[in-house]
Amino acid sequence: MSIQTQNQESETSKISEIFKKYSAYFQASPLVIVLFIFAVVPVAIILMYSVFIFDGFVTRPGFTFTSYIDFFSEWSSLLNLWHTARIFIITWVITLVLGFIISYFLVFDLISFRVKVFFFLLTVVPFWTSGVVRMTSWIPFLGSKGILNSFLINIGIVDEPVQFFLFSEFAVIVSYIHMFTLFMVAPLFNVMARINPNLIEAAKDQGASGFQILRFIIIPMSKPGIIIGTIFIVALVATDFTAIRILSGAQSGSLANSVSVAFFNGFYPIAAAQSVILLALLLLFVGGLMRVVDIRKQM
Amino acid sequence: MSTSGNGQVELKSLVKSFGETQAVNDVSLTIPDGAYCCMIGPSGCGKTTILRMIAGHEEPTSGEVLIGGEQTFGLEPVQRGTSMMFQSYALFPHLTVAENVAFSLRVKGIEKDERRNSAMEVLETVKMTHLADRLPAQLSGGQQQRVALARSLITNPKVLLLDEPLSALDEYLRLQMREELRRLQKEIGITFIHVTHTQPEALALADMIVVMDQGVIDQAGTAQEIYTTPETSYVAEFMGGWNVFKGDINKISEKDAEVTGSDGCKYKILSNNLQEGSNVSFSVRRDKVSISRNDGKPDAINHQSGIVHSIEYQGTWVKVTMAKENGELIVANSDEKDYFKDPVDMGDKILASWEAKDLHLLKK
Repeated sequence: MSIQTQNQESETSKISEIFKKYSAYFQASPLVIVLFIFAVVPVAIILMYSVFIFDGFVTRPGFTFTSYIDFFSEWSSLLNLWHTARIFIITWVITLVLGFIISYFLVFDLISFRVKVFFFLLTVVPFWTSGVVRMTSWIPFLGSKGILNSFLINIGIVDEPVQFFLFSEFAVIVSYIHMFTLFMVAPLFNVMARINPNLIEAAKDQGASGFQILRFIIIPMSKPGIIIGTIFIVALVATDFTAIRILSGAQSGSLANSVSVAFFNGFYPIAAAQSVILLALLLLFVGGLMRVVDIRKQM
Repeated sequence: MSTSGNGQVELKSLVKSFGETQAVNDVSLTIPDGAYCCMIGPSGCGKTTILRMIAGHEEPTSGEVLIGGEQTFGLEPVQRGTSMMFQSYALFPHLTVAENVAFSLRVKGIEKDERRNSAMEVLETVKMTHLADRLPAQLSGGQQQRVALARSLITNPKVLLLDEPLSALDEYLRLQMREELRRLQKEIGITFIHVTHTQPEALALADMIVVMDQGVIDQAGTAQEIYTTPETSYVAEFMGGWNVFKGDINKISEKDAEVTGSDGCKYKILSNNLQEGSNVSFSVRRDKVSISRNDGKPDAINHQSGIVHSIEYQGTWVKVTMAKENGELIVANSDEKDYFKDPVDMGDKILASWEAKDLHLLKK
């Protein structure tokens, strides 16, 4: 009797020990499963398609790097890459400056917490309409008979409509700034709001001028926000193809656009290979950023 | 570090209002050069606001702040010769200890090596050189405080302003840092203005204590003056160690007056310039109150009866709190030896008494 109980006890304790040992894995499993289904599996499928054989009409299972080699041996695809990089850099610089100024204003110039939150929510208003609508709405504004041109002609700055406003890289960048600045404002607002106002007073107490406070305290302490905002902007710009289609008027291409063109034409291995290249470049970029600034340290 | 000289701080009819509320209401005060001054009062009494106005982080609504006899209106903290140590220390989290301390030098554009050397020198005085390359988050509260102190001292201020510097530390560290602050202040000889809400801290540190209540100064003086001769019932109650009573004078003679409290208790006060019928506040120190077992004696002049409400052993004395019938409490600090000759229990009937000469008259 007593031996039996002992056995039972040791058995239950064994099970509970296993639970204890692997409890962390059990607790992490829901997220692991979600990530596996929605991130790992799709990427695996894309990777698989990128090495399939494509003869111009039909995709056949196989293993070849032709799609990759084709990408790197064609000028047009490298040019697309360059366009994307250029658009990203311009968009990034402008959204960073705008985002920094807006966040600074929200955090340091507004005193009441309610007013801060109210203004912050105002920056979300453009998101009440769909992205395509927001993008398309630039056409009547920037067009050759659009509001901007009429205004410029009326006040006499130009004599005839400026053509490069619409269907150009300019239009694409304008719409990106319009849509993406919030993604720079939000993380910057978040890190700046956590800067203790005492720190700024302490710096002032130490004799720092307004510019020195900005340079030595606020900018260094905002770095994690800048990095997170940059990651958002690069991901959004690099993967967008609608703005390129609607606003660039074929004046400008991009890698994401060429992926979508290949995909809708049924050139699956080519679309897949370009997707993999885009993903790899993005990962490299983000990895490099993480090396420069340890965002975990200051989160 | 040398004494930069005249760190006398003078406040002239200083007023600060935030909208409707008056945080500081017509305060005038002179703190002599080289003094350790503690400003004490409950939170919201305006002491921190005064400190911030001296520092230049807040502009007075009206009135003047003079440092070393000079007007400070519109001057930056560095131009005033003040340096402030913030309550939460306000160390820059992204800079190392040495960089934090050298911040004021970096702002002045001094070369990296030179400012590190100077920072190390100051860190030496607070014994923190071995942690110079750590980040603030890697330091304990006491260490962070030393760094904050070093950062304030490197600017060679005439006046160091400390905003509740010890409140974030645990008891043991607090006592240790208290001693160190005092020693350091004597060593460098500049004026320290220290805001606190802890009475023992103020008594232990200050050459000069300023007791504040609701935007005004109730009393300013040496620690001994404040503790032994409080001027108002507020100071007596706030600084502790006193029992405060109120009553009406019903009989005066040449050298004393008889007072009746609202509950009918009778007191006799030695004083010769009181008016019959007027209302007075007065107090008796806890250690001047003696207790004895009560075998049914009624209240008499300067004798009050009640039951033991609580007993706290304090080492050299025992704090006995007596509750009167109407619920009022009287505290007696009995000498340990006397107490243990005939210790009382909670609920025992006792009599608290004092001599007329120990009753101290208060202004309000």
